Amino acid sequence: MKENIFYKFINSEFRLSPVVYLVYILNLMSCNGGLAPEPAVSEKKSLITGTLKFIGGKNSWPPSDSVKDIRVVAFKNYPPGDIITEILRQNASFTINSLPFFVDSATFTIEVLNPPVTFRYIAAAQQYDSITNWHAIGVYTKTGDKTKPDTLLIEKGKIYYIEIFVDFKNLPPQPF
Amino acid sequence: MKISTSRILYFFLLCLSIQVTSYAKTITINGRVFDEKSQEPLVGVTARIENTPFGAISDKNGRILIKSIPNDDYKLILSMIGYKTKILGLNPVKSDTLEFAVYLESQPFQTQEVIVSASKRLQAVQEVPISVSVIDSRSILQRSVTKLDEAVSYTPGINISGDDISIRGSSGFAFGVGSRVTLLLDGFPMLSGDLGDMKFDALPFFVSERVEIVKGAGSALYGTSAIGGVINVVTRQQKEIGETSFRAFSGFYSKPVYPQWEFAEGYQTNSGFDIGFSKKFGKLSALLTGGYYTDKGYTLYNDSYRVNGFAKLKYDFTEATDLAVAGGYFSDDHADWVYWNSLDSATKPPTNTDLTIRLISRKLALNAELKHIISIDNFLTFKNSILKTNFENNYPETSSDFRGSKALGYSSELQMNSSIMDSSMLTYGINFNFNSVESKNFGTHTQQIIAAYGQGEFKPLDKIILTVGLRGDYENTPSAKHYFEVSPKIGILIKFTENFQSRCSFGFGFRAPSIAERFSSIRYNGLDVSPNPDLKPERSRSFEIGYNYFIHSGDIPFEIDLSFFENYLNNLIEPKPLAEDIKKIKFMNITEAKIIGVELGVKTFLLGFLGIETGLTAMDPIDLSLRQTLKYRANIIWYSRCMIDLSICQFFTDYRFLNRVENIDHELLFYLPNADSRVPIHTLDLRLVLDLNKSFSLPLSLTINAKNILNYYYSTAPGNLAPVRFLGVQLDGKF
Repeated sequence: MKENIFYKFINSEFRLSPVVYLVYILNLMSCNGGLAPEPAVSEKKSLITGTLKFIGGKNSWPPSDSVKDIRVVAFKNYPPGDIITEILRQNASFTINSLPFFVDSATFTIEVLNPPVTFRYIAAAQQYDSITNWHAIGVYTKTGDKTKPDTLLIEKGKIYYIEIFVDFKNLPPQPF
Repeated sequence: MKISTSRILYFFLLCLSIQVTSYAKTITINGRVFDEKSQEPLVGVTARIENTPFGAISDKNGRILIKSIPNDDYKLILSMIGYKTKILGLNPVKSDTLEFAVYLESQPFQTQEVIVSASKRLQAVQEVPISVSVIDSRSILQRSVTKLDEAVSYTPGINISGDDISIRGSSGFAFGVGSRVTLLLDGFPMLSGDLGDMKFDALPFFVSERVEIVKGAGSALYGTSAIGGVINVVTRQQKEIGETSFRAFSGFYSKPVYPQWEFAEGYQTNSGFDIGFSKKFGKLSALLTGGYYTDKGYTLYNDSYRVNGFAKLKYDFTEATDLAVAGGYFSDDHADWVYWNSLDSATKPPTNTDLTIRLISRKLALNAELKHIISIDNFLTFKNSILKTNFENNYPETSSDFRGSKALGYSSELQMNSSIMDSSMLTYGINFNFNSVESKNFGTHTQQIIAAYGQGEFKPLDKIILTVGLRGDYENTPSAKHYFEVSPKIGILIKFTENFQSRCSFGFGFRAPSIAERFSSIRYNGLDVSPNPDLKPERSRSFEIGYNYFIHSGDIPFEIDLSFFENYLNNLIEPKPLAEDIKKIKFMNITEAKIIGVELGVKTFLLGFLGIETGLTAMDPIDLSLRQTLKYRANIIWYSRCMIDLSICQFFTDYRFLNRVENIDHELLFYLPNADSRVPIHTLDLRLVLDLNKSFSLPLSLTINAKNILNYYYSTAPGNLAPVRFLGVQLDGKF
């Protein structure tokens, strides 16, 4: 490195040369809005990310007039109360936007605030009518037994990947 | 297969026997080319007779000599970088020599380029029914380009994600495996036999004449991989008079603005040197070049050292037969950087990375092309090429982290060009490709593709050019299924007036899975890639309708080009994590997609010194499987260039904008910290070129390059910071 002509030039008595001024001006011109390190005070996010897999593919979905919204919701309690109440009581974390309809699979991410948190019931939910009308269409379970949902402990700054299988012809037990 | 191959060969021999005709009375075209303003002779003007293989390059007196051609009507295309292309109509003469003198008009912004990639023969861009972009040698030379991604990054409709080049959204990010764009060097295939990827550094850019980019499915002529289009790097013709050229450049990257990103005390440099020589010795002409580049990198553990050499020899056996042989060797020793540690330490690899591990990559390309003019209306081209690629890291072969592969790609092609009447041209041929791979990671495998193709261009009316093409490819990979692909295409070009024309094309594309995609069994930065021999070829259909308007009002040229396109892609192969273990990856045919878009290009040259060129591509890339935006695709690509020409110096600005990519693989979040950190892309490059010939009578140019001058931090692939600000100086010259 020390043999390099630019290194010598930059570190020489020409430090105050127009080139250095140019570099200084360029630094002032540097564009904001690009990638930047996360603020030192911020903590890494705790995330649940994963995939919803629809058994039978996009042709297995119910009629379009019965699908208003699809979310993945992680509940602290099992069995949970109804979705809206649990969310209002801050007992549940959920995907911010609806997931896509009539697809073979869909990826999702839930940001979990105030970890560590234990979620005792994580489900994909379908809004089939008004905002209060939801039912579970898939449950997070490692064994495949829909009657035995698995618990997930979310720790600070960690990311958890899960998969939920949805079978519209064989829905899980309805907790809400 | 032996029977069908011999039948095809028999068909060709039959064609040849029918088409061989003796020359009637022949003449010599003897012309001189001058600069319109200075009246000085122009050296290096390329002259080609349309629809024939006849051509020449002007010597130091601006003289063009084309001997032994039949006395007939011709269109002579005269082109040179920096000058407006001229097409001369030549009529039969009574004497033995047809003489002409022509004055070319200086035009700093090229508007009427000639290309070879659209139809495998030289033709004006204005006669091609599909969108084409051409990057000229000046731009490549001045920007110190040594790799393909640097050359094409400012082209409308092109996006680069890591090692993947995407034309109009055809590709996303696939770790550089399985290119959906065919790469050619002087028409010879340059995709590797194992990964099916582009080796960005295995091209002799210092002696390139131009880079041609054909947008849209091109498998009707080029077969596998031309799903999104074709990139052809065309090297210079050998010079009549000896010419030695050189280029030396050096510069440094800016230090990181954020203290967390600092990783070295001094400045990281990027330097290189190229030398070239070209001369004709009687019937033998030669073009030689070599280069050495050293890049310390703008992140820790991202340095590289590269060496290349390239030679092209051409021997004219007779007026009608010549043989061109080319060979290139390209070596790259670079750090095995894959992705960052995290956004907080974006300039450093993951903390457990062994910084002594290097990845050595060597590429050897050998090409031979025999051209024989059977008659003025028929010429034959026989091409053979070998591309040998070899890469390995320096882990012991017994280690699970060892990565290495040796691949050999062989291609043979017999092509005929026949002009049936004045108004039609046929291009047809047979093509054999063979890939052989020996790798601990991919196994030992071969892949063969045998193809036959034909394309006809007809002029049913004076203002209409109709193109119809068809290609059939039979792919055979032992221990995988066999496939037969048919790729038709049709195109029409209507010249409403001399300055206004419309084009429309519809074509098919396919890509046979690479050996690496089918048979990978590799451990790569904590990921295990599993084989999938059942992969099917990817397919595409492209439709485009475009309009081109060119006017020359007084001294102001103005060109506007507008195109609407729709690409439908299915069976797209993508690496996907397995359900049972997210760290296990397999290549699978999973995506069906549609990309609808519009592309607008405008060029003009104002006030005699101000050139402006802009290209805007707006796309809606939809993943039809997931009903969401296709991963790793931007919706907006905007490129804008400005040039101020002050005679002794030229000042250029290049600006590029891509909106933030909407979707990436969410699974990456699991093992790649801050994989979803991405922003819109804004890059601004400045360039000042001083012509020392004009001010000091020295055959030199001095260029000051400032790349990404705003030092905008962005990524083009997950976990990878794109190049930061770079300031450099280049000196180049010709003797």
